[in-house]
Amino acid sequence: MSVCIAVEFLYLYNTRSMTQEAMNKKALFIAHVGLPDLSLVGEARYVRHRSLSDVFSIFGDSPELLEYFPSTFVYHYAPYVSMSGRRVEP
Amino acid sequence: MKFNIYLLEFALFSLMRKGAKTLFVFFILTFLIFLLASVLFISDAIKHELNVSIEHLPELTLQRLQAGKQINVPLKRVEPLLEIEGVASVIPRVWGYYYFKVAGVNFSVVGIDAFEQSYKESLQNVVDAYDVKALEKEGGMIVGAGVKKILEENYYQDFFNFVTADGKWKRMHIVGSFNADVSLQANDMILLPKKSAYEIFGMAKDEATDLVLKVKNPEEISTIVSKINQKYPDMRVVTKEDIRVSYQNIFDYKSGFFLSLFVVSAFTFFMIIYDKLSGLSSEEKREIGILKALGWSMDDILKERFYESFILCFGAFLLALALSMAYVFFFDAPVLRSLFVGYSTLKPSFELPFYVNIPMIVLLFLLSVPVYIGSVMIPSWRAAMLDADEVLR
Repeated sequence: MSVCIAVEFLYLYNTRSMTQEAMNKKALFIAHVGLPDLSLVGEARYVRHRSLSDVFSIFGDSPELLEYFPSTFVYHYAPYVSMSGRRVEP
Repeated sequence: MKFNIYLLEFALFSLMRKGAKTLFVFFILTFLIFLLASVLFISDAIKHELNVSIEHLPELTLQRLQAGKQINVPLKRVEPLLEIEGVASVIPRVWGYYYFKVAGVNFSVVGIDAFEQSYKESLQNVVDAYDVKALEKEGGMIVGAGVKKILEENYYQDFFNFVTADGKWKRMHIVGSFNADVSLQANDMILLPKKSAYEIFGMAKDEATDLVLKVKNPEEISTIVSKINQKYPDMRVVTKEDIRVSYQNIFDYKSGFFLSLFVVSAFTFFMIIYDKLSGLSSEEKREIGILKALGWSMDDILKERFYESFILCFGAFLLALALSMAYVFFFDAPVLRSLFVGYSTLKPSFELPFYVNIPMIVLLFLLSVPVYIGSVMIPSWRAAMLDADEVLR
């Protein structure tokens, strides 16, 4: 079993690791666009670019809106934009 | 301590003798560790992906807040900001979201100034089939793979009609699409000239969505931030360091989905442990009694139990690790994937880069294997302490 894991690990390491070329491309793209975060979730603005939005962003959509997107249960909001110590700040 | 191969053999046969019970515990343990390892593999790979590109983000991003909401920044603030010592450049950005009603998706639309030669050349590297001139003159745009797919599904093969804020149509030609290597970053992105972005969003020409500041010397950043705060108290400054910190705790481990996963896993695991700890079945006790009567020392019995539980638990751990690696990196994590991509219609390809966080695996090992072995050893030790006739009686 250990041999099997080692083989699998090596295979994945060689084939699926991020190549230098891909890394450069990503860096180039980010340098051009300058926006953080991945395009994994696009259902709401405050999840797509979570590093640039705060917990109150949802209020901008509609004051009565409850958080109902499953992705907000997975991704934590950016800590610096909303919290300082234990206080919630806009 | 001498290693006794016969004890190991006995342990193996003992496991086989118990058949169904061994299989059941093995299956449950494998499944639990597999589930935890898969989720942690995915979250670590996403974190790795984010951390790769962080160096190239601008040092400072300035947003303007009014009444708790982010609003546009007037361009006349650029000059005073440039006067602050240490600021290398201030770039006003125009970007936002465009909701494509027909498909129900949000596109991220980013306006760029694609006029400098060096800019064009480097952009060429991340785009397939890209014609520089088209981007400037005919109102061209570069789209992410996901956007291209959605547009094609809606019969927009080589152009797209944006509905501007005034209700007019704005036709933009697709002049290229982003390379598959940047698919995780660019899947929902549309890059177009700034002029067109202003038109689509219906923004005033003397405003920008936010400002981006480049600072040459990173040690000056905190001073610059305090100067900006003094000058413009309504602006929020997000530094690169802030974003780095936010990437570190991007996943909400303390609540939501992760908490429920950890609670369920821990509960199931400790139920197995409790069952083990609450005492041996009479059959197992009798076995220990017989072994003692046959002349086995307590040492031998405990060793045999250790081999038995170690083979079972470590086997399950290794199998779970192998399975979860295959599940996440070969099969792109079906089912679990949807937790990380959410409800969005614009699903990106979930080909995560292979990345293993060794401390995570060590933690998973320490939380499962020693605890399980302990839960087998302690009751066996209790039974083995007694005299053979007492146990057998």
